[in-house]
Amino acid sequence: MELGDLKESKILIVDSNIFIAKTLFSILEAFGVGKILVCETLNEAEKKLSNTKLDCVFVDFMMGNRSGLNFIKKVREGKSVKNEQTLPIILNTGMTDIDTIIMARDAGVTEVISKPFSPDQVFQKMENAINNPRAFIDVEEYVGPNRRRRRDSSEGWDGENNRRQSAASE
Amino acid sequence: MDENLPNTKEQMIARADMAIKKVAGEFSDNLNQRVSEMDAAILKNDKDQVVKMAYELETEAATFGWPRVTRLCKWLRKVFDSDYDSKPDPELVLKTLNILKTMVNDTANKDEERDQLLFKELYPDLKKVISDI
Repeated sequence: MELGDLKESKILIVDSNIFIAKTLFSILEAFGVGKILVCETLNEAEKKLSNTKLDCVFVDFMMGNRSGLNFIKKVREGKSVKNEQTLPIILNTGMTDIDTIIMARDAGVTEVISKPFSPDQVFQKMENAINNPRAFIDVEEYVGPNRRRRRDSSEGWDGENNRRQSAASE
Repeated sequence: MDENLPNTKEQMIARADMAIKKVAGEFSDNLNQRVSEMDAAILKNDKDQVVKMAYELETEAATFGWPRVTRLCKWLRKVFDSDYDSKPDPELVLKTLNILKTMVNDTANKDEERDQLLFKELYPDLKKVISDI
């Protein structure tokens, strides 16, 4: 899926705030997304995840008494038949404190978008998630996009590379 | 959606900006009502409801051209969620609420200059209570 051509793509919005869902829907529709699905609850979203192949998901952090992070963890567990663990997930949140961001990152989120958002920000996050994805890590303690954004930290490094070598040999 | 629409980044964002304007009208039409409902929840001291309503307004308002409403609602949300640096004076809460009501009183005739002055005057007091707003 390329951002310039989204007419074949299928994107899920999971948000209990109908107004936010409607806004995001309008933005994605204007971007030319072919199919946009909206779920108001995480239960609905989990059903959708199990029976629909998706290209990207926008999920809200505060979903009633459950957190959108639960949904992200479920995807990263890889239990969906229709969707891969690597499915790009963008978390929408008004809570931009460091604790929330760390929790989101550790849950395996692809990108975080802070509310209120603009079309430009939505575009940027989708572009990062879809066109410039980070390497996907699948180890015992973490499954999700590489939490480090820097692409190559090994240049000029002449010490040991134990972690890289052990990951490669697994 | 017209499949033949041009799709450069700028064109996609321009179309989305237009689409947002349509939703913004609906948001502004309901803004006064929603602030009144939050006011009623504050008077009833229904903290959970206030936090929920303030959070929703905070996360929507700036998208539709009401950035000061976002800031004031963020402040109220944090105050009612006890997420403050120093305990707020109840009078400051009422003053903030009154300024918010003034800002959204006539959404069809938004007064940017007045709103800017009101916010500028209030901001130092808000900042003493919550440094991150």
